[in-house]
Amino acid sequence: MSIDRTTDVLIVGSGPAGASAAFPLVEAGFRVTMMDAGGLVPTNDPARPPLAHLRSGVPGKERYLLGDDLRMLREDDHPSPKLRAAAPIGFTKRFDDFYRPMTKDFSLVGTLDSGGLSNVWGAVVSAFDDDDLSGMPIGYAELAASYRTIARRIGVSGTDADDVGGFHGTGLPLQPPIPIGGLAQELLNRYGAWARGHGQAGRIRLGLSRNAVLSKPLGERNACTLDNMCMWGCTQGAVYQSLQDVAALSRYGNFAYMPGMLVRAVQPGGDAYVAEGNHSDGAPFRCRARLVLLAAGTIGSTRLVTGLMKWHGRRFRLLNNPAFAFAVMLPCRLGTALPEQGFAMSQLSFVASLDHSYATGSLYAADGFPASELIEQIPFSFAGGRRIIAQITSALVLGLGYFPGEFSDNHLCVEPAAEGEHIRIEGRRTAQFEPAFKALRRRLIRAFLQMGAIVLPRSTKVLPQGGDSHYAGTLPMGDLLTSDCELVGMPNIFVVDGACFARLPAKHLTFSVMANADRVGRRIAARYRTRPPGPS
Amino acid sequence: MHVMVTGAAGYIGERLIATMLGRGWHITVLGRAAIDPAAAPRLRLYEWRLGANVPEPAFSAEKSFQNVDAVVHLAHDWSGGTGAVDEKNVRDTCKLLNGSRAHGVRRFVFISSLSARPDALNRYGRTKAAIEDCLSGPGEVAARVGLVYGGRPRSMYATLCRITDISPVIPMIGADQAVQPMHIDDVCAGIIALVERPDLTRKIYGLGDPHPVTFGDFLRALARHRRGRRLRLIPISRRAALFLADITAGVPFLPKIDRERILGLGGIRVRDTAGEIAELGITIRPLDDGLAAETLRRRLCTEARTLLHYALGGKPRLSTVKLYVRSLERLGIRRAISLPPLATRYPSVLRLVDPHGTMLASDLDRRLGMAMRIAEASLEDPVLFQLNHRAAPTLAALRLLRTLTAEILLWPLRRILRWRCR
Repeated sequence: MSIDRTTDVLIVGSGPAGASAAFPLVEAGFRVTMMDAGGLVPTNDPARPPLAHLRSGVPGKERYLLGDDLRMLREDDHPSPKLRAAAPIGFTKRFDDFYRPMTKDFSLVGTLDSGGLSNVWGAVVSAFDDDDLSGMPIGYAELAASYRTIARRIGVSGTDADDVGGFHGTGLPLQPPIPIGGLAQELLNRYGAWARGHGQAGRIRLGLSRNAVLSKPLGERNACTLDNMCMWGCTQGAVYQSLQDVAALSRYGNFAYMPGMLVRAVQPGGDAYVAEGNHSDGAPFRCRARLVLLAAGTIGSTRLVTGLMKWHGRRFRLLNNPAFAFAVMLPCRLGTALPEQGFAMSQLSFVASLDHSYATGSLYAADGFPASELIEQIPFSFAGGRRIIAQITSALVLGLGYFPGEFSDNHLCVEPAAEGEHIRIEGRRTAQFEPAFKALRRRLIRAFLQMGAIVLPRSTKVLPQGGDSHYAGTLPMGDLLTSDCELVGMPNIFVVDGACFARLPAKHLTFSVMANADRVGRRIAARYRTRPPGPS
Repeated sequence: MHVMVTGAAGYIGERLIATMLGRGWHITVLGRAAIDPAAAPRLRLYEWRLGANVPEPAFSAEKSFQNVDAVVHLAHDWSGGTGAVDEKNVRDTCKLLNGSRAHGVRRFVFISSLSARPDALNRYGRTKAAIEDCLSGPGEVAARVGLVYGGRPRSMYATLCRITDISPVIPMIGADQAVQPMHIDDVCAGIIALVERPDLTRKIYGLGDPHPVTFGDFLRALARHRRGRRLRLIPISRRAALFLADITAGVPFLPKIDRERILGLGGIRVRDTAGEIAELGITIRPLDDGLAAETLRRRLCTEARTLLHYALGGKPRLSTVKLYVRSLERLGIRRAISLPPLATRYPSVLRLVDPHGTMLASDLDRRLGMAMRIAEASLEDPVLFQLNHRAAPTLAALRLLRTLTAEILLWPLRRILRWRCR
């Protein structure tokens, strides 16, 4: 049974970008249809016990810790332990089957599931400032109101008042920060003492992380209960996921959410555009819309634009944040008991200036990670590794750092082929990365040492390109898109996800993507306020 | 579907009940087996033994149990008696049959044997044939089961396993005799088909491999899969075999071999079961596949015990071993890794050849990784993974130093041994 539909605005993708663009349009009265390729995402069991309780041994422990589908046992090379624990088996399969990626030195992560990667993201949010946005046709002033709107809507917890508060963005409505554990607090205290004894210039700054995680209830979502099970997905709704926005949007009569609809192509069709694709059960559909907002993720939107503009074979510059991981131990915390409660996501943020930019990163308490994940990383025997991890977990902090996109030199290409297109991605880092990374590593080791913490030898690993999952820059604003993110040469087609960002600073991208999508939504609503597009 | 089953406690019965419950069927058990409370909602038990009248409520509908759709009669009275045919068994079965007819049960499946013949050499075969003669109605069929293997070893399969386990050289009769083995799950599939299929064209269905193997080949396959060794059979006469059977009956630790079985072995005639199997719509797994799957679990259990013992630094709990095996089976893993025999006895030895961190990827590395995750998720002591008590930092640091030193010293040795092991 094929589906034929007509709407004012079609939004392709139910991730944070699509959701944020939808609100201003829906509120302005447009008929909005949002489609995604996924089915409904299974929700977590609200009766799931906290991690400390599970570890002490309750019946059903293995179900929660391994996953109902034994996801923790799957063999994959992806570096993210969060992806392994939180994403169901098959999370990336349909994406790989559809895009048929051929990658060289690039670890591609993508999903067609509803809500996209926001189902498993790390939820760190930072606002871009004018420096971050330099080279783009918009500045902070254009995004300020949108940042505030997004923060108010999704709930952001953190503080303005420490050494990284300004970095994350000032003047935003914030909930109190999620309480950090004793280990992180100890590190923060030592940083405070160290910072007071050192000058401002060129030093590494440490402070509380800012997360899209609720410390107070918001609407139907509960506040974080510190059950330390974040790796396995949040059962409280405290961590922002775009499907929460989609649920809120669904209360509007002029909004329709249609999951399971894979948009294969968008083509001009008379005085509107026609999106064609198929439902997950195979049935084809066509949807006519005056306006189309592409929010299918950088890879997905680039593919759709390629099809629209006949840009097959064209090489797009693909930005990512070259990332690295490391482990830090606080010897003074050896022999402390593990906390009963905990927050397993980013507790602390650090910022380190580079020659012309900066690197940033998050610090995590190791007790929120499955010990097996950590044992896996230790280059000793399993038996020895287990003993070591058991002994140091209460003193161990894990770090994940990002370099700005300027250090990446990846390219993406949508290639036609007899059996259907595929995406080709070649990953590379620039020649400047290696020395910059080595220099930063030295600084980090020295700084932590001065704080009484030891960066474990050989624990610093550079992730494969793409392992960060921050993809941007293929369809840059001010170049292939207008400053309103409208596709040059194709009026009424807008790209509102990471693809439209011409620069990728070391800050986490999602919050800014959402703010920009909100801005674009408002600009479209204003443009058509006097003459709404109407049905065709 | 609601099925009444006799002989539910036996080798085939046990597996059949589990399979039928897995399909969501309701089962009324006649007999004395204890009920597993987890299965209770769809299983009910009535005390009965062969020869007694079937209690009335057993045939009636109650709560979620609809009327009985079929009776599957597995029970056999071994108490003996004399005479060419066990008349009591025949009479008692007819009693059950009449009860079933009286209540309008549309299907009666009698589990017989491929040795069933009026002129069989063993009483068992003659008795089964006589019972088959009682089946006259349209829904009354007999399933002649061949040599059943697989699942939890019981009955003749258990005896044969024990025989091949004991020694690589055994005296045996009838090594050239053709037999028709069938995996117990295929037998259950056949019985279920006999219950389910609306139209059955025959009265007798042979549940045995249409392509027979020799008894000797069967035993050799058993030894090969279970013990990984070559079995040598010394042919003996039937008289000698019966003599040996009498002896083993007296000696406590040797497997008991029924005279009847030995006699039966001699009189087997191959049945062309191809058409009957096809009509039931079941597929038969080849002997090697069936045995490999059986012993897979055993080998996975050994692998589980060894790897978990090494990973945990001590004997793992049974529940953890089971979790490992079940998890690997669920993941579709069909192969146990080969471990050095020394490791199976002294798992700590694995620390010397643990490939982790030596940058030489291997199956052992992956399985150890899985063992570690499974162990962490199991009910083993959590302090094995996260020490959780207060201790002086210096003491903790010293402990850490000790482990680190051991590992650093071991590292080059492991690298070398690992390289040699490839």
